[in-house]
Amino acid sequence: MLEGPSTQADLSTNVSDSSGPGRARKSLAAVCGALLAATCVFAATAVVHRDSGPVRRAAPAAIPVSLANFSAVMVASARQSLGKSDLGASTVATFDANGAPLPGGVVDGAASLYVSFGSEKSHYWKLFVGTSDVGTDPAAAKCSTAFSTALLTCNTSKTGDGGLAVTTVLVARAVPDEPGHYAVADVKALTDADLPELRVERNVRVFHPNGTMTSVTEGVVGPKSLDPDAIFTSSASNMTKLATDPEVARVPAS
Amino acid sequence: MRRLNLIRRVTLLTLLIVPLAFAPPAFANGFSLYYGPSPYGGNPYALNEGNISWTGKFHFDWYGDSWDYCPADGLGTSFYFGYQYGDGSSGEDAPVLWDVAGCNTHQYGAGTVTKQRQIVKVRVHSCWTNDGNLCWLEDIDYGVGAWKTNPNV
Repeated sequence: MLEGPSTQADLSTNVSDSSGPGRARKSLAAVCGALLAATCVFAATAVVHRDSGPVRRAAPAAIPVSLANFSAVMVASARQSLGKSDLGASTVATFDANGAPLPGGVVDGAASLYVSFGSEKSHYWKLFVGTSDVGTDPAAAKCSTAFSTALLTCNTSKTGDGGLAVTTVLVARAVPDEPGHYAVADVKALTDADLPELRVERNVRVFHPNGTMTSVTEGVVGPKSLDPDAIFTSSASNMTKLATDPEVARVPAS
Repeated sequence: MRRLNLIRRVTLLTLLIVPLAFAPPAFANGFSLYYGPSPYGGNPYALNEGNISWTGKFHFDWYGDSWDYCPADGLGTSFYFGYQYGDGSSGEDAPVLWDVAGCNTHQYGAGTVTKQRQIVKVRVHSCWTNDGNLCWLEDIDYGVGAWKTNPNV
């Protein structure tokens, strides 16, 4: 069970904020002065060990404030494109440029966000929008054989906007004694008895030439088979349609 | 007057030295976990490395680096701590450090963990992040570190 989650934002502050540990080191050293020089130098340097500061990447374009209603657009698009009228309530989560969750799902200043439906314990959908890490060259994205033991299918296709869609069906297996955690499965070694322990996800990831990446996922926990057609209720084509929806794909580049 | 100053100095020395003498020593334990691969690119791997310093029965300091190497696949790296407590129970935290920006980037972090129960031992678990899920897949083959036993318990 998760306990007292720490946020990376807090940790980054610890490291990079000069009023944090750095000031603590100076204060400690100053107090100790010449009286306990050797001991204090040790104590002062032991406060925080560091070999280098955090490497900050160029921040991706933030989602414009003018698109503060973007999550509503995503919800509407998802309901329409996924062909499901019973997706249930939606949850919105937003993240800063370093991937740290923003409290309350605020959109202002967010670099990526997702809208999810359903329950991650049984059946869920997720629409994610962020910055592509292949930049403006979608052809750099691949469908590889890595994690091949867990892949049921993987294929690529070009999209109408010049992007590339990578569609995968991947099987993960519950980690013993760690509720909610999954590891790569070996699909060839699975039997029907393993099905309750599995999580199967179909993911359509579209790398757009404007530098945006949109990702649509449908996940099922404890499937009754490993036949994608029997597992998922949304078609891959509908998921691709949602991932290439101009209203979704234009963020955050617009 | 000089005698008063001497008394003050001795008092100050005592106040500084006594707490240091009774403070628990810090015991350092390093970790360095290479793991991989990721599903969307070729020959990827990741690295979580850092150090844990035990500072008492209930707490430790840590620092670390989470590296996500090529390819740029939309996935990232993270790690979290798993615990065994003095009352025989176990637990885990949410990821404490992650790098979600893809190819050849890394993220540095440090912090202090304090628990209400005695921590008997702790270890690092490595994950792949995906679309806002900071532990989408855990690498149980190469991404789980050795237990670091707390010498203070």
